[in-house]
Amino acid sequence: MLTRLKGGRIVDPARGLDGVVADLYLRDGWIVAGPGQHERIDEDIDVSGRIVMAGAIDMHTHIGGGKVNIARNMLPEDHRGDPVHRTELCRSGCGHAAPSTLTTGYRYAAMGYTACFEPAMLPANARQAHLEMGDTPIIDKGAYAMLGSDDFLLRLMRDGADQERINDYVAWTIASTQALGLKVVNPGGISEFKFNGRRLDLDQENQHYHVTPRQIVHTLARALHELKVPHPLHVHASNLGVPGNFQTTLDTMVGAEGYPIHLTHIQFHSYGTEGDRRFSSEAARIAEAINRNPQITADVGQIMFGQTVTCSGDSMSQHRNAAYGSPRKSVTMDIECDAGCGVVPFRYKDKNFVNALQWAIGLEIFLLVEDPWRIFLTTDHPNGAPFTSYPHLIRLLMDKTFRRDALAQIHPDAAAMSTLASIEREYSLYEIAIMTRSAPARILGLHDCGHLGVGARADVVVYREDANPELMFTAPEYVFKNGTVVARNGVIVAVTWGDIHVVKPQFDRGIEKSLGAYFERYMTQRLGNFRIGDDEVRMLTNGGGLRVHACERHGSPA
Amino acid sequence: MQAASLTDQACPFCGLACDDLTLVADDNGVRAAGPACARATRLFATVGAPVQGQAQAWIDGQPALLEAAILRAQQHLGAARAPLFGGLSTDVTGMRALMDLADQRGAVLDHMNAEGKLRNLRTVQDAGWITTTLSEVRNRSDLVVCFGTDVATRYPRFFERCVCVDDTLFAASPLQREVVFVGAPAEAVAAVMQTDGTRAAVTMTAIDIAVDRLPEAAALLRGLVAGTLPPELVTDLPLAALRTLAERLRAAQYGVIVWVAADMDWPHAELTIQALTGLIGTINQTTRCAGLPLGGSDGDFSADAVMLWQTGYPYRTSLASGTGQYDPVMNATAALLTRNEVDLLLWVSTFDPARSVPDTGAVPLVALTGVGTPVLPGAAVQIQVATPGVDASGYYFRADKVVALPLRAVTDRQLPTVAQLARRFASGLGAV
Repeated sequence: MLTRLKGGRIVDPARGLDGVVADLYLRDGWIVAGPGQHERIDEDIDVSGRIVMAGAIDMHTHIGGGKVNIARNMLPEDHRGDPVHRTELCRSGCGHAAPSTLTTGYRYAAMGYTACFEPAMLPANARQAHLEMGDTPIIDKGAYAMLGSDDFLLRLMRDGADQERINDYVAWTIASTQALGLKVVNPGGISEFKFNGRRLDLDQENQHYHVTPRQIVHTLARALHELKVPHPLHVHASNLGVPGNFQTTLDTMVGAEGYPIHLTHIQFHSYGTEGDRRFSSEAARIAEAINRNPQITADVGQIMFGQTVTCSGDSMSQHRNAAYGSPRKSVTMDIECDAGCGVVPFRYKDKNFVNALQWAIGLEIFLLVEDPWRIFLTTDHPNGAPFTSYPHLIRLLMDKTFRRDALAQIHPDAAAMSTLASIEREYSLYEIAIMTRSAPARILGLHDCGHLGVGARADVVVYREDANPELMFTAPEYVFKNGTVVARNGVIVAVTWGDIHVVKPQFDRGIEKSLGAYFERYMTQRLGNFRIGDDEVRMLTNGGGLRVHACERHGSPA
Repeated sequence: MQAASLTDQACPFCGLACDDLTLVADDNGVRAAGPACARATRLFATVGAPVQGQAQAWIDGQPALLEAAILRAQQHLGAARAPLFGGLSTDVTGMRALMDLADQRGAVLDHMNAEGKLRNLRTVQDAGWITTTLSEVRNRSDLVVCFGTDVATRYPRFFERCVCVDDTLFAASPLQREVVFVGAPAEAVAAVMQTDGTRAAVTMTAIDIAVDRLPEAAALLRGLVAGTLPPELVTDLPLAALRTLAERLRAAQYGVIVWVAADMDWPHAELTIQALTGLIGTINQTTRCAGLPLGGSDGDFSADAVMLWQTGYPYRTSLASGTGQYDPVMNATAALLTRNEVDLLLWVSTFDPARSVPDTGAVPLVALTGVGTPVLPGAAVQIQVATPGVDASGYYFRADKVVALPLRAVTDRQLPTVAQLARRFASGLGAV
């Protein structure tokens, strides 16, 4: 089956194409150069005048796993505001802050997203994450396994294990949980909280293991580098949400000692202590540090005003933040000598000084980081806002008048403390395509996603250009997933099942001997039941596939 | 058949889901040969018994061919305008298929353990809580308070696997711990003390409180922990013992309070649970303490997890309007049957044959039951089904809701699985 998208304006930054008019050919789920000799074009779609991009990629979105299910359980009142009825094609569900898996897949696809990555898969809870991702239709999925407060790693580090052995454990964890990458959350801090510590600074020792967050970040970043895992260590830094934490964030960049790291939801880590309220923006300093250090990437974790729910592995921070929850309820968990989690509903208000400044800080970072290949568009769904707010966020980045009007609505003291009013920058469509397609594919090592070159998956989005980018990005005219039209003008027209993306770094199987003994001696499940095999994860994709990406260093950013 | 012996198999017969069992399958059925508890041994033998030569399906109480029973069940489902899917004692795999069918038919979903679970749910939806998981309890807890429960009756290997252990991560020698039973059944507590309680590192004591005084005791303990009780308080509850317990909780490094909501069978038991979670919150201002609300038996956390991720709501949710409508009171099985608001009960019970089917009166009953369940004379259709972990593979969520263990088919009795039947039913019926 050969399809031609005729006459569209191709925006494909991976190949440097910015609005070039060209035909695009899709055959059997892949992008191809054109018809073979005597090959007939089965389907011709006229997209002249339309913008054609690769499917968007959300590289940090909490779409599946235990903490999301806790959030769903806690918030029937939120679901009731956004009921989703079943149709001939689609299952029923709920939307908004903690959507059902089915609705998550449909809505991402209808918005032109074709791959989403769950950033906080606890190894002990990996099977649930895969079960939930498996029940998320249409889009491709993948996950980053979480380490850094697990007792096995901290014991290795305390005992002075050599890097090679730590690499084996890291690689084993990624392989056994079917992950695409590795995340560290409040390094050592989740463990510290279990010992009744309430704060752990970058150079403060975990009270039991006497290792510091700096050492943990460095060790794990080095492990991934040596294992040639494409995605660098995904770092949720220490001191999330604490005024003055920008210094920790800057020090974390330095602490990686040149190893590439990705700083996630950096908005929550860019706070100063200036002003009467001892809360200020340090976005400029953070952006400047990113600009200066080419090995650093970040996603923003923009907040948007309204009700949402925060789901995090950072039990220490979430317990501290529980008092600010709205509605006032929260769940905190210590989990399996492995990690933790905290779920706190939040209502961000534009007339609240802190919330208003958080909003401005996120936008400042977007606009002050110069290289769109190294800053990614996220709201840390649902922690900053539900993912459905992306089109609005894109408009804030692309339209300075709209942005200034929005700035005029927020708490005046926050607006006064922000440099946002003076920032002229407007993102171009090309830059939006970089930060939502080409750059995430590159940073995750997905060679066949995020671009429209020959050999890519036929994940293609066709937009009607609009003076209002929010309208344009809310309901693309066509969304193709693996060559199938899955959505038209915001409505799902076919339900398919996406793939799961993983890497399989090499490791010495000898590590399983120690792990097997450790599990039998201390844990309450057996190693063999902890591991998730290839056949199992393939089965969980509901008919999607398992896509294994090579462990090799990708090129430096363009 | 060739005898097969498999190690490290998970047990689906209570929420602990112990996964260190050795299961042997041969012509005599499946038996647990490993470190299984009495409950697991009994249920593997009953539910895993051979089925050769027996009827596997019944229509109106009479033996029938499987295919005929499937068609009859399908007819009932097709005719029903307000079906109720109850029991739901299956695993993740069975539940996922049932959810497809439920959405198609606009069914109400309720689990046989919903009433107990609801007591916890109301607490979570109202205020939240701080909880922990089995391995954390095993390695960290220096004080374990079992409130209103001996735990072992429902979770036989809890102490063996999570409390009375030789090796822990953070202590060089066996971790010294105290276990305090509050208002737990005396005989059952005595049995625990005589077995698990003999370990040198573990001290077990009990505070005797009648079951009907437990709500008051929880409130009192909360007040003692918070230091908000009036000094002149007069009570005939064992105040001194509870005061000591409150002091121990405040002094412990990692206290754990265990409760079993299924046993808290009194009106507004969620207020008792909130007293416990409230005091846990208070303690966490200065030291660590966590709740362990045990559940997960009969696949209740497995079914619940699937419902949550697929609809956003826990069970007692109706899909009749085309989207989820959660109402824990109106959508209860007994209430729906009493009010004549449903016209079919699809009952699923694969784990414990002792769980009784509700009286449906004139409402047709289609029952998918595990081996060992007697023939139900009142059922319009009854089909014997495979049990996950015996002759069906799948997943089982453990009591802490974190670990989902793989269940494996260790024998093949040619019985249909719940998932297969649900898919058959759905494929033969159009959209509502």
